[in-house]
Amino acid sequence: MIVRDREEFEAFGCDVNDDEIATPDKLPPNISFVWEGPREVDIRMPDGKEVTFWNFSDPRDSKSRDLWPSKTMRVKQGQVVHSTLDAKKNTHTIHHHGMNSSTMNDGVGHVSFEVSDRYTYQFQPTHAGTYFYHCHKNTVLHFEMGMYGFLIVDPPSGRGTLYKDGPRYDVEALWALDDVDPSWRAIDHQAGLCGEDAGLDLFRPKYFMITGVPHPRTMTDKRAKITAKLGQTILIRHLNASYSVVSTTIQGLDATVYGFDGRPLLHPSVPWAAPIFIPAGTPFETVSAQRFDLILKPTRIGRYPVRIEFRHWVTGEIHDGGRGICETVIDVTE
Amino acid sequence: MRRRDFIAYGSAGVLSAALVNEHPENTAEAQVAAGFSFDLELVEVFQEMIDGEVLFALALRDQITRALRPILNVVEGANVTFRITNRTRKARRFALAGLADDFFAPIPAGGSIQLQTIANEAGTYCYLDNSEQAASRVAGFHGMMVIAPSDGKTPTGTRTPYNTPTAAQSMLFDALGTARFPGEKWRPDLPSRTRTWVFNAIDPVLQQQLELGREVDQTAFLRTFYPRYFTLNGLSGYDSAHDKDTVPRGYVGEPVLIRCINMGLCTHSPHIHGNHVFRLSSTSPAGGVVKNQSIPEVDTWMLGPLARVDVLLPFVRPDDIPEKAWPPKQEKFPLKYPMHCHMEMSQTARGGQYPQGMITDWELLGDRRGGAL
Repeated sequence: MIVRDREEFEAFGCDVNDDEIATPDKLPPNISFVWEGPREVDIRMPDGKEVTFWNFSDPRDSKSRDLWPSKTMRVKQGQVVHSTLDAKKNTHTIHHHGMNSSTMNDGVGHVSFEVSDRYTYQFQPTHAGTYFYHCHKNTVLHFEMGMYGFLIVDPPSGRGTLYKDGPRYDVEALWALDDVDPSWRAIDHQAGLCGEDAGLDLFRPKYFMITGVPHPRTMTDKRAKITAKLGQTILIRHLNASYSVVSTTIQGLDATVYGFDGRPLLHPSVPWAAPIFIPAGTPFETVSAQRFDLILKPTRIGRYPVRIEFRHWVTGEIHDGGRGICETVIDVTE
Repeated sequence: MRRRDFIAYGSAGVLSAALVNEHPENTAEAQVAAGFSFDLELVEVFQEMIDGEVLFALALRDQITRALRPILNVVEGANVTFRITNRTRKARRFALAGLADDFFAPIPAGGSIQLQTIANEAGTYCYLDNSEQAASRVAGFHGMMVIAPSDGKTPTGTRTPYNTPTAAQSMLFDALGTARFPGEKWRPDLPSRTRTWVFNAIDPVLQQQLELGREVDQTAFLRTFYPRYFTLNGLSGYDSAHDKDTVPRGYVGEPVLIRCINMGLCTHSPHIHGNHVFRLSSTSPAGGVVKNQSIPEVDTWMLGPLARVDVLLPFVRPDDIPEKAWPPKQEKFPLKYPMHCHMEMSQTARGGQYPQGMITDWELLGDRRGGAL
């Protein structure tokens, strides 16, 4: 029998602690970020309709104001990182997904607090790899509204190597695969928290995107399309930022997963793990929040098609009557 | 109509002989020789959801302890006998996914039956009723069966959950308690070092259909299934985050095996905070236990319908807390972290009430037991 404490029960979701908190055990940082949010960013879809997203923006970088997904955080393994949230509208949090921080620095309201003013999250990444950051308040809605961005941890040697003693790369692509339900844009940011039925269990996406680019612009936009020269090694940081089972197929090129959720698959420290080989033309599936670091080494010039299917979590069918796909290409030139 | 029990809260009980080696005379060999038997009944009940809504449900119940959806613990190689009485209004067919899928005879309404099988291979399994395809399973006729290994040791003698563990599994379990993972080995003799997580998603319309005795249209079933409650061990949100049998708790260096099964129809994306986990096993397309040859360290794992996945939560120091901030001085133990499904619709209850869905917490009580707290 579980005895519910009424106050604790309310604080679990409806009335979460939003007291102003100082970062515990705070250290001088090696690198710091400031995020204001949320800010609305409108993206015109191929059907001419504008869809609103929410981002985190960097007040020191005016270009970040209109970026979606939010500006990428890039740090080096071993740096003490400070990531400050300045909540401009209502309460929010930042969860640095995959960072194993302390509870107060993890950004989850029901075990700590939500930020009503400013808070500085602190962590020191120990593993190079692919992560992301996102708001963890009413996450079902705030993540769908787009409050996320990549968090890349480079090894001490910097860009060009996935992790220490790991594979090197020449060309890097960041793919955030997302599905968008425009009907959720009309929902208030607090919707459902205190008991009302906000319909947040009924997700019917109509737009499908790679890193902020809706299909079919994904065929030409440089944020999705990859261009490499023959002999170059390509790294794709593949993030499922959707609420779908995502099936990805790369035609004509073999790929190997060397990193998974920010952890190496080929390294002396993990003798129990091994890279995952994905033959050309073979679909592979991921679920929400999984990250694959794919290494590709083309041996022939050519155009290699990529098809990404967004499948319903119950039926397994492609969303939107079979239209739930993104297509792009990998061009390998001389 | 038969009287139905009202079940308020509480997760599954655990049915087994005493754990191997808990009593020196109760060896695995003795347990295998004696076999296991369970007296169970299929019942109709009402269960209260996290928001107070009361729904009709189906369940298997232990006739003696009256535990609903009990965890059935047996040992590899043993004969297992099930004596099952069907107290529902329809014929039912008990099945063990991956062990005896279509093996057993139907149990008529009001009837009883005795079934036998052999616990073939150590691992995590599930039982269910497949008389209405997936409908009665999702409506509550399901639970976990655990087959413990009769030996389960690596070549160097470390205990694991599997007989003849793979080389990868052996390396990982051997590394526990060394400089790589300071602390203890995995301890199968301590109940606190194993957790069982049963995932499910509930559609109130389906529950009502079954209550009224209506036939389920199997051709439209998946397309009309609209889950509105999401449970872990039959509980949601605040309740699953406060259930002692669901929440892993321990100190640094006390690794916990977590056995996951998904009895619902959604593909889930369990995501854990605070530590990554090691994905030890998965399920073959035919339903067998796959002992992984490669063990990735992940913070998110896929759990499709009927999937059974074992993960190891290492209970290491959360490794991205700055070295100079460990152990924390201003922040107090326990450090609490959630595990939740990242297909975030599952974090709701009846369309809102985030995060009163498929979630629990785990608690790091302190640095090494006896260390600085």
